[in-house]
Amino acid sequence: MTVPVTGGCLCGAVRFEARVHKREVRACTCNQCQRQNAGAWYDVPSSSDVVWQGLPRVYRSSDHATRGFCARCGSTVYWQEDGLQPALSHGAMDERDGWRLLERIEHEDTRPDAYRVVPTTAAAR
Amino acid sequence: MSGPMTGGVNGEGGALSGKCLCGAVTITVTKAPTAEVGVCHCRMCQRWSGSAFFGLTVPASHVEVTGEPADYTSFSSAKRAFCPQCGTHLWFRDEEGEYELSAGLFEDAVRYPLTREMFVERAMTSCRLPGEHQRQTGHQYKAHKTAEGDAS
Repeated sequence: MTVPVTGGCLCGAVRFEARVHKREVRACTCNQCQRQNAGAWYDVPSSSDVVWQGLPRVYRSSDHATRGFCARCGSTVYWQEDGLQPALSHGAMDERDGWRLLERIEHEDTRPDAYRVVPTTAAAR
Repeated sequence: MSGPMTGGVNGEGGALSGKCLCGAVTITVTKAPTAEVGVCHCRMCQRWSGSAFFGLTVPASHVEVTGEPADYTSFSSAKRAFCPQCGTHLWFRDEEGEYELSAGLFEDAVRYPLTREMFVERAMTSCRLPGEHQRQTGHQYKAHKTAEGDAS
C-alpha cells in the first residue's frame, strides 16, 4: 500500500511525483547532512517510483551515496544510498503536515546541543 | 554519512571557519559571533533544506568568503546562497544586511544553544524543537523586523 505524493524545490525548476509507503520521515544530523542543510536533514526513506520534471544536479558526497539539489535555487531534494531509491526531501513535499518522525540518525560527535528533534506519535497533532 | 567534521575553530580570536561539502567555498567569521542558533520554519526554508533553516546571525563586516557561491532570490530582495557544485547551503541574506549563515558549516556551532524559532505556526509536525526559547509566529517575526527597521 503506497501513497502518491508530489513536491519540488523552492524555485519550481525541479518537481517530482512519487509514492511513499507511509507518511514517515527520518531526521539525520550527521556532519554531512548538517553541513549541506544547515541543521537536521529530513527525508522520506520509503520514497519510490520517482518521476522527475527537471532533473536535480547530483553530488557524490561519499563512497556509498549521492545528494541531489536544484542547480537554480540550491534546494536539496534527495539523499540516495547507492542501489536504493532516492529518499526525497520531507520539506519539498507539497503536503507535509501530519507526517510522523520515525527515526533519528545521530552521531555523538556531531549531535547538536541546540536542538533535539522529537519523534512524533501518530496521534500527535 | 559519517566521518570527521572538517572546518571548525581556527584559533584566532574565537573566529570560526567552515566550508561546504566539496570544499569549493569557504567561509570565515573573523570575529566570534553571538553563540546562538535561530531556526526558521517558513515554507521557503522548508523547501530549501528539507526541515527548517538553522542560522547564525553575523554582521557582514565579519564574513569572508572564498570560492564562487551561487545565489537565488527567493523573496523580494532576500538571497539564498549555495555551492553550485555540491549544493551546500551557505547563507540567507536580505539585501546588504546581516548574514544568516548556515549553522551546519561550523563545527563549534554544534555546541551553540537554540534561542529562537520563527514561523513556528508553520513548523512541520515532524520538526518540533523542545526547550525554553523564544518562539515567534510569522506575524510576530515580521512585526519585530519592522520595528527594528524603524529604530535604525
